[in-house]
Amino acid sequence: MAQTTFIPEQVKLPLPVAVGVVAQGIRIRLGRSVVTLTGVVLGIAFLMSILTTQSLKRAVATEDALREAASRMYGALVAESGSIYGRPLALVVTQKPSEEEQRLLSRLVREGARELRVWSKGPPLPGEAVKPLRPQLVSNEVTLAHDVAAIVVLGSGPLPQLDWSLAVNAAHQKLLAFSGKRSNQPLLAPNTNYVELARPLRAEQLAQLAREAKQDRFRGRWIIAISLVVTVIGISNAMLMSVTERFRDIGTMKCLGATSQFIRRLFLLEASFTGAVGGAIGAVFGTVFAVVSYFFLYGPRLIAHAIVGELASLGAAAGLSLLSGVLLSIIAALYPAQFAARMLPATALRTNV
Amino acid sequence: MSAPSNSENPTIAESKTERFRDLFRTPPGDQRQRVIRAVDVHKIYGSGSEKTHALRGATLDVLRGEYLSIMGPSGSGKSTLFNMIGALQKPTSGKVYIDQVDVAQLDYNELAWFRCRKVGYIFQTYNLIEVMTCLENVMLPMAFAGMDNEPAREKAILLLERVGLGRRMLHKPSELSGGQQQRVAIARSLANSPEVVLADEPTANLDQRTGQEMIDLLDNLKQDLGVTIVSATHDLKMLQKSDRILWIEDGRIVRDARPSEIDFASAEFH
Repeated sequence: MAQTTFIPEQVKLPLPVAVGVVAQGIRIRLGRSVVTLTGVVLGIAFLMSILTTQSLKRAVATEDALREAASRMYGALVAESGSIYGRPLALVVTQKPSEEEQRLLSRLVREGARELRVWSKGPPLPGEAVKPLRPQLVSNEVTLAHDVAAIVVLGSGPLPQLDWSLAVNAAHQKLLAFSGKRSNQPLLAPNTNYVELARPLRAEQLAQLAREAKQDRFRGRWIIAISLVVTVIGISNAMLMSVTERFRDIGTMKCLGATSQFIRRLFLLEASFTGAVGGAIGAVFGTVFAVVSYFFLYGPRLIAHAIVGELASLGAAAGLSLLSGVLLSIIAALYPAQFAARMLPATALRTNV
Repeated sequence: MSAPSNSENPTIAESKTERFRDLFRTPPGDQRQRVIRAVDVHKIYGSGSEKTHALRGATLDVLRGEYLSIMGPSGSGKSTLFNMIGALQKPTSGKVYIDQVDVAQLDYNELAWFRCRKVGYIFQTYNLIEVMTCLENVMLPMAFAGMDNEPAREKAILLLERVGLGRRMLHKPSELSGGQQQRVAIARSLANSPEVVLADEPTANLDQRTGQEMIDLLDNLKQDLGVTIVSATHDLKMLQKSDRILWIEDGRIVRDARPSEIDFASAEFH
């Protein structure tokens, strides 16, 4: 004999109450929250460091190109001379060395050249480029080239007066390397190994570089995608643990009148909090990590300048990271939240009546 | 949130009691109408070869204002029946009327509304929310019922004072003894002035003396407010205080008696 009574929709619980419960919950279960938080932090830090790196890379592109060119020259040189570690080098300066040539010299010093002998006739060599070695000025061909790994002619200027046959014969491998651009290499002595270090790249090499860059980008994106998926799974797992731990609380609240929607909202809120905080911390960590790495690679001055120039894009990257943190956490929490919301109060209580 | 100071002035105390009663009084009229009615309730769990027939046609009435105890061995369907009466589960077949509403017809959201306003719950393990103070715990059902903060707080304070915890309102459950937590649970169960209070082994986790206090308190409240109590219990003291005792065995109610008709010393009840 039931009257069809009109039962109104359960009143939506005001948001502040839900927020209060969540905040208290996080405070109480700080230990477990920290684990979830760390997961978010790591995932977002990784994302942010990648984005920051991309930004900074753009800013140091010029410097990068120079180092790249110097690297190629160095490679060309050691291909002919073999390792220069512990061996002397002879330098003939025809012109103030270009930026690339200066990087080459630094590289040679870093790779262990034992001494640098410079032909005394010609423009001076900037001491900066060859620190910590101190170049020795030499005016005798034999002394200049005795047992050197190579004689390197820097710059594209006119060749100084020099008995090239004498010099080349004194060199270990009779290797004469031109690092500057010359329309054609002058043949200066018989039986000499000539090598042009500053060869322009052939088309195939350029294509190869482009392919490699593309592969790098693809690989980079793939790694980001995977790391984000791992982060999401980690958060999901932590949230499922959290739901299981609170079976009893969920059941109790449902008995007291909480709707499924309320329960779901509780967990999604908790996830958003964790995501926001984790995203913020992760963004900071990621930026710091990338900037510090670049500090060591390129020097503080260049990087500070780069940061100022790229401030807008860095800000956008930070915002994106923060948003990702929140979004990823919410996505990760969808299944656990649904699981909790779906629980029948009786199941959740497990009363052994 | 601050608790009001307990006044010693008799006039104020009286008017407080009066106010308390007013908030909970059931409307006059047929005082002995049936507040719960279960008709031929069946409940089947699982499917295919894994079916469990937990309830096989249970029928019972609970009258308003009475104190009913349900007893039965484990596996008898006692917990299932309890869940049915408490609007925690829906029957597979049969009808369960709580306050003349067939709960089987309600969807999950309506059930939640119903539970919130018609049924109060007291659990063996108290089940208070650890992250909230006692006051907030008692206010929670009222928040779910859409009550404003201020009136909810007032009522919660009255309730907590009534159960003897006026000085402990702002403590967390973990700071209270078992008996005190159960008192908070009792206060909470009355928060929305429900038709019926369901008590699942309320004294099982308490020592003899505390258990007795709890039983006396419940009895007190019942007489004061005319609320109906259904409990599942093995506690002798509770059974003796009941108006009626139901036995359930194998999914059916097999006996319905008054405490006076039962020889508690015999091995009839486990």
